[in-house]
Amino acid sequence: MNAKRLIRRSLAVLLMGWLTAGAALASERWVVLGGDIAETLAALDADINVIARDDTVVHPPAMAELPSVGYLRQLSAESVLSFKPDRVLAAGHAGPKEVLEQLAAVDVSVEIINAPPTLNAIADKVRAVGRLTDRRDAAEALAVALSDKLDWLASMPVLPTTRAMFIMQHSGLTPRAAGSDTAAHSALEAVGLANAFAEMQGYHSVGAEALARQAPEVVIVSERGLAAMGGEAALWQLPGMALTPAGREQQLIVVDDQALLGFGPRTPDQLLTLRQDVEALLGASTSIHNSTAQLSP
Amino acid sequence: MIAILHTGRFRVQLPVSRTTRVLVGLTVTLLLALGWAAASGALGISPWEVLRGQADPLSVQVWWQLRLPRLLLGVAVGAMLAGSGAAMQGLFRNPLADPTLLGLASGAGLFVAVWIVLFQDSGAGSLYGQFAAGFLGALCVCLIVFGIAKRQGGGSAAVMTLLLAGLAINTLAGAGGGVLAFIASDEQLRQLSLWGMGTLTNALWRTTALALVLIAVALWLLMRSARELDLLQLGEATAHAAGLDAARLKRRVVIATSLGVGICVALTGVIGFLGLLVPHCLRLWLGPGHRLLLPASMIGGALLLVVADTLARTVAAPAEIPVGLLTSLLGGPYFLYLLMRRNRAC
Repeated sequence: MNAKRLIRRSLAVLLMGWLTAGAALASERWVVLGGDIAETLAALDADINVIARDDTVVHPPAMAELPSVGYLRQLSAESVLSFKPDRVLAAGHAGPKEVLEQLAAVDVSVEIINAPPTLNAIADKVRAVGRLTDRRDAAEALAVALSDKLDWLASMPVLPTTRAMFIMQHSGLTPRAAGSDTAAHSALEAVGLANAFAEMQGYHSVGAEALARQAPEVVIVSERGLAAMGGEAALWQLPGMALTPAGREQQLIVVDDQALLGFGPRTPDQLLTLRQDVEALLGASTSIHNSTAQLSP
Repeated sequence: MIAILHTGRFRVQLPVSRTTRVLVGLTVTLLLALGWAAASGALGISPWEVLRGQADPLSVQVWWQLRLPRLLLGVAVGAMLAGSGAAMQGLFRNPLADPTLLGLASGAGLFVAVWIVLFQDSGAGSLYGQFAAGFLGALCVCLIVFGIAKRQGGGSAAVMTLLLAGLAINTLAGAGGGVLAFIASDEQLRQLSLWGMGTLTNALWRTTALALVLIAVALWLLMRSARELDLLQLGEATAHAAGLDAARLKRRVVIATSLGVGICVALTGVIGFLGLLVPHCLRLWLGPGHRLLLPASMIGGALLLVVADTLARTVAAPAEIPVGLLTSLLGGPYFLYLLMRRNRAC
């Protein structure tokens, strides 16, 4: 008797779920949190009704035009709920975690795409978003295409050892260099550059003497970071920069950090672009390989 | 019944009826403020409709799951910070004692930060760890401050020593926090950023329910000390002659304050100056008797924090201003004014 009822019930639930799954996706109100997730949705051409985003969503323009719920890492539950979402699709670094818990507590379905900031995770991320938005085939194709690009990048000939520094700079304060355990570090390694500041972990301000000692031969900075610093001239005038090979030769590469470090679907292309820029720079520079004595730390 | 208290300059008469009048008045004001707070937020929800069951399901959920625990946490934290401020001022016989100024809050914050960076493995038990760390941090600072206060007599030198001790502890805790921020991972760093400026944004039933119980215990311990704190104002020797066990009173107030403030900080970060601002204003109005001042401070602190938090939630919606920023903006200038007035009196 009970078993019968249970079976009947579960069948009914399954049927309901199956009937509503396709139709619901298009009618549900989604909030997307995280630039990489938004880019993945766009790349998959997911047919979902996105009504709001967070401040880190700057691409594609159609997503960037949506109203924002605030900054990805400082969400407030009521501001997200004021858009009356049915579902929230969030990057793993969205937070605070309590706010996501609060959203789940009021029966919003919260999906968190937990992916480590590594290149290998890009394909997983695409597949996960594909599963959630009923775009499995498109996601599989995109994941394979992105992995192929990354494989191609990895199979390129080894560059001569070149010490690079990535300056992460989002305000007018002291420049912060990327150490190991950062997205920037993974990007440098992927294109075959050596991170001059690999000894430290995370992003930290670096002083003039440390700059001179680590002797980067190439400086990589984002467009926004360069603008915040006050342009290229200001960059070369940073204390200690003149004592580095990069400063002497003024070897600079400007990148779109959102695309490069977001570890979304645009990242592999951006890495290939960076690789080309590096090759062009190394080909153009004559003195780069005989000017630097590798200092052992 | 009339209690007559001699303080430095004036005599205060407290008919019981006045006590009742004041407390009932404050409570009604708090309830009105809660009504306003319950109806304000990024989402327009009418609490009446929710309680009568006429609201849409989302509003009902939001109100019960998000807004109500936040209001209750605001009441508890406000009451605890202002109540412990009043009790500490009585215990140290020093009008400038306050959990923020003396470094209790930042000590608790530092211990919680140490717990997060060095010991916390995300998972169950981390909340209890944070509570325990906050309690221990506040307790350590309390004992240090006590050790320093003991060596001083009364008078203005003691006031200044205590403030300098607080300054030193706050500086140390700030430096410790800086070191932790330097070695913290990205994830931990975001948890730590809460301690910069207090906020009630993390009010979930899961975290709030236990905190409410523990804070209630701490408030009850403080309330039980009211009469003895009044005796202590007569001076240690006189109080002792009147049968006061000063050591037991100190133990009780220290434990209650450390427990309450530690838990407040673990959940909401450092919300400054409530413990200075509220008891001070109320003392000017009600006089120094702790049997009225303690409960009035608790209700007043709850009132101020609920109002400040509602402003924090609504002024810049959808963004939220940290409520600690608002209380510090109110309390900082008031503290300066107090210092200037003291200097004129000296």
